[in-house]
Amino acid sequence: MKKLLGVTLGILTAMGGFVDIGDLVANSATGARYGMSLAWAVVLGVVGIVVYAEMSGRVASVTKRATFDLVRERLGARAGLLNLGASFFITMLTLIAEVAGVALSVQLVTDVNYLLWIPLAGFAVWLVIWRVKFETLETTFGLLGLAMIVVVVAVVQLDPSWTQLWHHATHPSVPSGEGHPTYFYYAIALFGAAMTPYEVFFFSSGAVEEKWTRSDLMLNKANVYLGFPLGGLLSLGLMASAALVFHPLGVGVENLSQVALPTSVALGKIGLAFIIVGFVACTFGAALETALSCGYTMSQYFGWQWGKLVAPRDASRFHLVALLSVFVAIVVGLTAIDPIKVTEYSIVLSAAALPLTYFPILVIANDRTYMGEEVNGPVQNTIASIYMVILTVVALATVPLMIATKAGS
Amino acid sequence: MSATVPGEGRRIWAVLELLDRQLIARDGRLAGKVDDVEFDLSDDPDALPHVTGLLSGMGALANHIGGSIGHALAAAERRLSADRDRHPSRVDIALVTDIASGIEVDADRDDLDTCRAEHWTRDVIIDKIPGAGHVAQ
Repeated sequence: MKKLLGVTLGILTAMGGFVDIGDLVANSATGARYGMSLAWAVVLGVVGIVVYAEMSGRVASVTKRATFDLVRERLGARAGLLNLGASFFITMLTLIAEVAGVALSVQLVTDVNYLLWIPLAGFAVWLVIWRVKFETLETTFGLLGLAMIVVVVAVVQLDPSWTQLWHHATHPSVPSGEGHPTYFYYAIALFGAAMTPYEVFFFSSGAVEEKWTRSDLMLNKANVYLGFPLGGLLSLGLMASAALVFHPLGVGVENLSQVALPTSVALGKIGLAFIIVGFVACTFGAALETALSCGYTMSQYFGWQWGKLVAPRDASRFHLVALLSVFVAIVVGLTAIDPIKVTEYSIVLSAAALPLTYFPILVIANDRTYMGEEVNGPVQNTIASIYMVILTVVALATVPLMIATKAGS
Repeated sequence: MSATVPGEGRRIWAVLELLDRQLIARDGRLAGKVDDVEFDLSDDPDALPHVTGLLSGMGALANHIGGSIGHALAAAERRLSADRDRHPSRVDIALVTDIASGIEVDADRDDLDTCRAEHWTRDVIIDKIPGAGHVAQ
């Protein structure tokens, strides 16, 4: 059982990255608009995050140092600080969206306006960070998030023509009447949703919190190879369910209740109950992941004591940053800013900022003085280097595409 | 990269081996980063400068970064600190017991000058919240 539960870090990390509030809507929206013709972007993202997270988990297990700690050491104080600014800003944007996302998910069950739930959701997130042990948090929300698998069941239940879905996914084409820039903008959004930097901050810091060592490298692999592809499967499930139900009707997806619709069409009330539990667990998990990542990145840059292995009073600045981040998320959320738009921006900006944290990890994963025998092998290095090129191209293309397409509208 | 010469202390590439490294106190607690390094220049022009202390904290970081970002950090630091013209927090090199990927210091974190802001945050804010001294179970 302990072995089985050992992979919940990877599962929670992936859920928080792949099926958080923005991605729930973005995956369904792309399915409704483009069918399965953007599935490749999800697959590209899953392989990328597997490579990236495996390296950072391995580095954390061997050196006992989390990602941002090493970013500072490798990039130096100045470039590290700019990196911190960009990474913190993106993570903060996501946190704002997730706190509102928890509230939106609860609104689906209660019919009470989500704005009223925002302070409560934020308080609950902070309370978990303040009081709950890391392992408990990771296991609880990782396992509850598995309720989202109902989406995949729903796709099977909808009894699609699998050959046709497969054909669409493997022969991507821009649908007539859609421009190429918009198509690629959505591709970057899906790619960026899979490869968010906060997933890696959280995963590597979690590995340190769980006291992984060299002997846990198999556990690292199990977490990465199970968790992230599972997250990718759920993304594709959401996309396929929307492609089957909405695409033929030409209906767009704009809000969370529409995301749940294909599942409730296929599986009735039980399906709806499962998907709502999944929504709450995944958005809450993502809120924890991003709030902790705000604390992790800043503490690791400045060298402050961080983490949940010590009492809050012994990691005072770490807890202060987490507390203030959640507070800001509540206040901004209450301005009724659209949380789905906020995550859409944050995942696209993530894609732009990713090379900044990916590169130092790639360098350290090859450094024998740190890693000894556990340096990247030739296959890992080939794939990792190809992704360095992809990430750079994506980073350069992101902002111009965002402006040219008016953010995909 | 480094070699020990008897009687001369250890030779190190200060920027590579010291700067931006994690300071770790005796109790295993993290105690800031090495934000700057303090040297003593000898009168003898041929002698190598030797490291006398490691500087850590917002003030040292601001000096090291320089430029407009450094100015902004320094201004923020001055606002936050009670004592306007104090020097950056420093750890004497004599206390350093190991220089590896982290720098180990032979002192408890609570006795280190580099953790003043950490203590201030603890005493003034975090301790006021119920459960601050409780390790999550």
